[in-house]
Parts: sequence; structure tokens; C-alpha cells
Amino acid sequence: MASGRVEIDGKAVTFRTPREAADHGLTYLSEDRKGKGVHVDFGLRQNLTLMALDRYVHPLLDPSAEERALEVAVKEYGIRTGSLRNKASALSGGNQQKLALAKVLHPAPKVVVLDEPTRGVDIGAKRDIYFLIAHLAAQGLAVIVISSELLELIGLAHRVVVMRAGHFSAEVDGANLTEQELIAHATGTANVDA
Amino acid sequence: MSTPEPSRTDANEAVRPRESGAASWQERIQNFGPGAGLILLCLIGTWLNSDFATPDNILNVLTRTSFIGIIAVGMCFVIISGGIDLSVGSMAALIAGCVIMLINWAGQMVGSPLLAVLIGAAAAIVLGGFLGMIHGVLITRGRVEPFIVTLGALGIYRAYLTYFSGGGAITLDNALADLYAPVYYGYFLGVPIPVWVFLCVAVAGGVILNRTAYGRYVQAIGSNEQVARYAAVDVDWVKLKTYALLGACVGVATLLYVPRLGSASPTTGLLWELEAIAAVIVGGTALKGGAGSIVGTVIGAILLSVISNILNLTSIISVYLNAAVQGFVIISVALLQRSRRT
Repeated sequence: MASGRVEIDGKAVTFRTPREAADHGLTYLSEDRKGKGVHVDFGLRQNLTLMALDRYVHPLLDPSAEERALEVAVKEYGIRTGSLRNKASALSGGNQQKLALAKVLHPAPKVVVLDEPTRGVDIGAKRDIYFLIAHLAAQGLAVIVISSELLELIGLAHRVVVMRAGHFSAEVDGANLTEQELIAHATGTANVDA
Repeated sequence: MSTPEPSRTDANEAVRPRESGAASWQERIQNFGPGAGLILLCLIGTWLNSDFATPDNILNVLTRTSFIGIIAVGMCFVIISGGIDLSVGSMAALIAGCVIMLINWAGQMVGSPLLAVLIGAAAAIVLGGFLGMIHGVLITRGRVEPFIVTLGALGIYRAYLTYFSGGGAITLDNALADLYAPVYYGYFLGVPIPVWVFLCVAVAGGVILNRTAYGRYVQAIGSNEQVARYAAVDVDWVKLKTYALLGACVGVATLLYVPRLGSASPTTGLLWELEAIAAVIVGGTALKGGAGSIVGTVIGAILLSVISNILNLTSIISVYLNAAVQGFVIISVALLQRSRRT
């Protein structure tokens, strides 16, 4: 079941592939980090710039510009790595996730969709990622976080849309944003309780 | 954007053993392996036969390498992207046949024989690119395995050449053959023309693979197609272009090959697919895709043709077993690659 409308900056857009979505300024971070998120056999630099290569083409790729971008990103996102020349497989799960985040944000999207951004991530990296998301939102980027961890959502989100069995169940915000409320909508018992 | 405070809590990560030292050591062997093998072979060749290290023989080996080498450069892209093309030998034969027929026809229709040859040469590249594009479309839009598409094409192309030639040979008219001959037999600055073309194709291939967005996408797809797709890479289009590029390379190799004999027969380009794939694999490119090098591929192609040259110059192993030696080499290298990874 796939229907609905997507609007970016008030304009209706349609896309069928990640390529078309990126062209419209929407990028996506998958929950499946190793299967869809990062190239573990690639270097950090190649991972970081993959979605924004046209920025480094004039007309040939400029590896030194890519390296500078990597240095900046490693600082900005707090990616812990022994060497900038490491492969992504040499990073811990949390740092791979930060790299993946840096990658989907590198093309400077208008909307970013983060699917379970803290799954399989150690507690320290989790904290970094929360700070980052809050910071991005404060800058005005539209951030959509998909998560099954309620506390994570309550801490991060201004508005939460609850989905149940593939359908819209409720939109919750402000003072209503509590665990009970979310669980009630997620399990379909909201109206029973009330 | 300012820094989201990095945490100080993950001290366990600081003491993680670094894999980078071991990895780079292995990579270094992988990078120098083919070159070292080639040098070793050349030393053996020199030791076995004093004619081996003469400039004439070396240029001869390089000239013979150039056909396979040019195809191998294209094949390198296809294999790095995770694909394969088994049809290149048959494709070369079919293109050779079609080009000869076209030049003969154009020689009569168009006044200028030179123009006829030029039309034929251009047609070789266009036809190769077109056939490769068809492979690409079937593989990406049709969702058929590359192995199946190109295996089928292998049969189809050679059968059509055999049909066109009536089982015999398609031969270039004498006057036109004389005009075309320098493309194979000519020299520029003391080096045969095919070797120059090989060099240009290899340099262009290296630049495209390592210094263009397209080359990066090819590697990304071979390394993990799904990750590449989610990273907004237009996977189908990039893959399609690798097959078209390989087809064009086959066209270039064929247009250099045609003047050598001035004819095409059912045995033209036989087992070229084996040699081209072997050159890529011997050069250190993993058959599963993701990473590879043009320099390695060039060395691999030269290495294979040095082996065949040594077999020709000495009588240790019969020259009839040339393809067998290449087969053994490709399997051994694949075994080595596997054991290195585990």
C-alpha cells in the first residue's frame, strides 16, 4: 500500500528512485547500515562524497578537495578514526553511522529522512547523533526520524506521527507527547482508554 | 555548522586494534604482485632464450598484446561493476566480418578508398558500442544475468559471422587492404601503431576509472550495488555504459586487427574472452567486483602474452597448450585472491 503526496517547499513532487529523490533535495539514511548505508570496503573519503560527487568534478575528480571535505566532516560529526585513509570497515558501528549521516547530509538536502539512526550504535555515539539531529533541525533543515524507540522520539521530535499496521494512526505534539499517548495510538487502544 | 559535542565515553574505541596496517601491507602485495610476476617471467624468458629480450621481440609481444589489452581495459570496467561479458571474442569476429564487407562495399560505392577505410573504422567502434549497449539494456532493463546474456550473444555473433562468410573467410579487397595495412604494420616514433593505441586506451581508461564520477560509481556499484542505489547512484545507467564502453573497446581492437590478416573467419577472435578476462583477473581485479586497476590489467595482459611468447620461443611446453596455461593461470590467481581474503 503506497499512496500519499510529497511536497517540498510547498511544491508537489514525485520520485521513484533514490536518484530522483536526491535531485529534489530529499535524502535517506537506511536502517540497514551495512546493506544500504555505507560501502564498508570503500575508504571514508569515497563514502563521504559519493552522493555529491558533482561538486568535486571540474572536470576531473579532485581527490585533495575530497580529502579536505573529509577532514571537515570528521571534525564536524565527531567520527573517530585512526587514519583518514582507513576503510569504513575499520570504524566501529557508531562511527560508521556518523559517516553514513555525514554522507546523506553532504549533498545539502532540504529534507533528510533518518531511519532508525541509532540502531546498533554505542551510547556515546548515540548521544552525538542526538546532538547532531537537534542541531540540524535548529538550523532549519527538515529532519524526519523513523524510530521504534519512544524515548528517542519524545526527546527529539516536535511532532510525532504514529503509524499502525502501515496506516496513519495519529499525530501527537506538545504536551501530549508522552509514552502512554504514543503507545496507546501505536496499539490502537487510545479511544478505548479515553 | 558547529560541532555536536563529541562524547568522551567511548574509550573502548580508542583501544580498538587498527586494521589499517595489515590491510595496507596486503594491498601492497596485491598491487605489486602482477608486476613482480611479469618481471620474473621476463627474467625466465631471457634466461631460456636469448632472442626474448631483443627490441624486435618485445615490440612484437606488445603489438600482439594490444588487441587483448584494449578489450581488457573495457572488461576491467565491466568486472569492477560486478558484471561479466563472455561475448567479446565472437563480437570481435562479427565486427571484423561486418567491417570488411562494409569497406569492400564502400570502396566501390564511394570514390575514395581512404574514405571507405575510414567509414569502416568508425563503423567498428559504433557497432561495438551498439552491441555492448544491447547487452547493457538486456542486463539492466531485462534483469537477465550478465553471464546468460553474453553467453547467448557469444553463440549468436559467431554463428552470424559463419553464416555471412559461408563457413569460409570474408576478405578485404587487395587495394583497400594495402591502404589499411599501416594501421597494424605501421610505426610511429619506432613503436607500432597498435601499441600507441593500446597506450592511449589504457591511459584514458585509468583516468575515467580513477578520476571521474562515472568511474567512482562503477566501483561503488561493484562494491555494493544496494548501497550505491540508496546513495542515489543511477545504477542501471552506469552499468549499461560499462557494457557499451567495453563494446567500443572491442570495436577499437577489431579495427586494429582487421588489417593484420585482411580477413575474418569463424576462428577470428577465438578465446579472446578467456584472455581478456584472465588479463583483468591476473591484474588483481577481484572477480566479485568493487575494486580493480587499469595498470594491473595492462600488466596482466602483457604477462599473458609473454607466457605465450615464451611458449613460442622455447619447447618446454607445446604452444598448443597456450590456452591451457592461461586457464591454469586464471584459476590459480583466483585461488590466491580467495585465500588472501580469508
